[in-house]
Amino acid sequence: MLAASKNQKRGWFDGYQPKGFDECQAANGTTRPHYAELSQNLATLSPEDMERRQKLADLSMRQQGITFTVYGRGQGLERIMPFDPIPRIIPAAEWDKVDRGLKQRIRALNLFVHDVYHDRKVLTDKVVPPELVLGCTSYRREMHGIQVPRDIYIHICGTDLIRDESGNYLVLEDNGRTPSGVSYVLKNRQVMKQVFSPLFGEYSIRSVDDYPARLLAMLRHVAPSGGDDPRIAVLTPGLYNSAYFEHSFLARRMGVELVEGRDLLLENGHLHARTTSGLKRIDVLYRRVDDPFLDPLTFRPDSILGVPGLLGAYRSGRLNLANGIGTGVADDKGIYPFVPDIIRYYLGEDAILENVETFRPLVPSHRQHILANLDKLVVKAVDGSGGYGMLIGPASTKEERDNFAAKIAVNPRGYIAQPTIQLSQHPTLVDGKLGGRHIDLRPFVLYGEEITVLPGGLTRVALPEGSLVVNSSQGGGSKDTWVLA
Amino acid sequence: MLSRVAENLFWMARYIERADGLARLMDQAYLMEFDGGMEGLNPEESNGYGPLETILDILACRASWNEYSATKPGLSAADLLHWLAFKAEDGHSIRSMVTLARENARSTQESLSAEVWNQVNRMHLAMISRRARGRFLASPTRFLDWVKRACVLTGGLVNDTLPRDEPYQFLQLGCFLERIDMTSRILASSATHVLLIGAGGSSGQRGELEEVRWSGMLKSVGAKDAFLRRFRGQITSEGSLRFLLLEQDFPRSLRFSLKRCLESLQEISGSGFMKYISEAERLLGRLESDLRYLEPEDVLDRGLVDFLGQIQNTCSQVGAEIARECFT
Repeated sequence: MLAASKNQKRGWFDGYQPKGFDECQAANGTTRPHYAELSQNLATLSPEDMERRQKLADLSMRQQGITFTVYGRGQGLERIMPFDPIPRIIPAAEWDKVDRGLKQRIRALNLFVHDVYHDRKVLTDKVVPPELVLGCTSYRREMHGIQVPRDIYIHICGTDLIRDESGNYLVLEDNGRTPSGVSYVLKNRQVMKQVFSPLFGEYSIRSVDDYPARLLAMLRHVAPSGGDDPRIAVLTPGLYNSAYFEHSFLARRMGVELVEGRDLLLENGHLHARTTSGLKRIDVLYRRVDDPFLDPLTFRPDSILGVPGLLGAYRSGRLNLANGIGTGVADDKGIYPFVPDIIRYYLGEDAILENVETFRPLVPSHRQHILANLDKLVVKAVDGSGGYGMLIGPASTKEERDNFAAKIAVNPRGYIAQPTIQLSQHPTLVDGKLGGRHIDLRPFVLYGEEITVLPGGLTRVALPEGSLVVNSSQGGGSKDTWVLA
Repeated sequence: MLSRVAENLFWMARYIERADGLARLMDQAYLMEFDGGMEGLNPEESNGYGPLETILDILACRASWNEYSATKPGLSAADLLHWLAFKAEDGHSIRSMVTLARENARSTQESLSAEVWNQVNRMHLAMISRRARGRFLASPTRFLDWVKRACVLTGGLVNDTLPRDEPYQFLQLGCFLERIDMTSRILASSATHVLLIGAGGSSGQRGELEEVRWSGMLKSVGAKDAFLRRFRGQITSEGSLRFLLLEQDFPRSLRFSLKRCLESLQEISGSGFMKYISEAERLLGRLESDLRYLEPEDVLDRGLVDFLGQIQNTCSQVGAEIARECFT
């Protein structure tokens, strides 16, 4: 155990405790084989060296403007997402299952969305309760009977995965609307190479750099038929959106224009951008604006982020949107418990990636279980996201639990509950030492001519000890994710 | 390209150029403040025309300084320098200009190269950091020198990393239109000063004052060395005017800047981006031909301040025409 003795000399793993499922160490404290080289490489770096490099990494992110905007206290603040230099490593065989599972899932969810807006067989066959689908806040009746190019609705999916105590990958939620975070995947890798090159050693790591090219190819593939050279643009809510950097980054890396609602207008039924040489038609919008803000004539009349009449161009097939409108029925937390059934119904296969066990207050036996175990469960509002509007039972006060019990009684459809999964933990640099911190994983799936999964994804890490909340808006950081070739 | 992006690039370039110009002006005026004793240059006796105070007129922000200084009696020239570096709002301090440049760049990152965006962002981060103030307090000259370098580096990266297509031309247009505007304002301020202060003194005093003022003015636009090599002799009103108005080959002269503006406008319209010869082009073209046949002595006779006022008018008309034709 040469590696172990070296580690002890440097002391990186002194006092390190594998708890729950640890990505790097087995329960008895031995290093998992795919982390052996990393711990050797780490041993060549002193704590001072790591600290100096970490500062360089932060500075590089800040200077490149890789920031997100935090709202809440007064004006929005530009922050960098804390970057942790200890990479997460996923062996090829492990990734293969994730890859297959994600492809299966996006295929089934697309068939589901198509069905919901056409024949609704899934409802008449009683696979999913109709009231859950039709009563879902992101169901869009305007989409009924509408044909979208190549029948693809969810072109980009950012499914959140976690690992349970035995290391099984579980789906925590499907993000099939406007998932963000992919720019961090690419930038984390770049900064890792620039600043922490000694950690790479002999590892053979799959590249993530071709994502923008694949995204562009997908967007071209789903252009409305007829045009031979489709014009693509990225639609952003604007400078003050928390993911603005990402919108700008993707537009630049695809070589397409980044537009805002005020740059666009409808003419002759087609979407156009105002340019210095007059109006220019746009065929496909990679839109990072949510459904309710896209078109003030159809959805929220107070939205200034959208384009009046945009929905008309979309419905008549003169414009395509990625993702499509109304995909929220597929990633709704109320529908989530039914996804394994949805997969079986459309594909005749068992789900390769399992769901987290989920209780629905609508089912009487579930409701009793939930109310009796609020201190052990995580309760989520079905239309909440980003870590807002949830109760983490073990960390809650009696008052908070009573509050949620009352909410559940009034609106049982509005909530789901899940056991508190501890998430896997990963060595993370904290105060010059390694400590175990909880992580999740958001891989990115593209559905165009074929389905591709970006090898890796965004590993988010909950930096406070014991915390289970990885969202960047709640103080989470991120890590580079290495999928081995 | 998108109209909104064209507008943002145009203004990004203007604010960078303006910050550069202001840093040069401040540096020169700050050094002149030390040349006390000469009539009219001492802040207490300057009646509002001390070297630093004239910057207030060049930037058209004397009213906001008066408002600020009214609340804090006993402010010195050093306080004014600090105000111009950090405090003045609405694009009147270096910090505010850099912030505006950066906001414009941030919303057009995808049309710039990553290097240009990083440079503008780094300049902004440095300006809002606590270190910037420390650097300024330790040596205003070194601080201002850093600002100049950061601005010039931005221009260099624009030149070396962008293709000569529309985004580049709008950046050039913004930069050189701002330079025409700024240079004409600086000339007007110096001329006013020489006329006002000089009127009361003896001819000897007046000659000395003229030389100090024009010399400072040439320095403040980075033209003194080039001027001395070109003219070798005494610094006079006529010579300075000739150089900054008419010199074809000096990059900070009006004539040179006008030519660059016209070239960029022609690139924008000529390659079919615009449908017809623009009003902006016509206005600038007319000014260019006026300058071509101009004799500095004529201008001095006819009234220099009025003449420079006309140039500023043309600048603002051109800006409005570009906005009307390209940005809406």
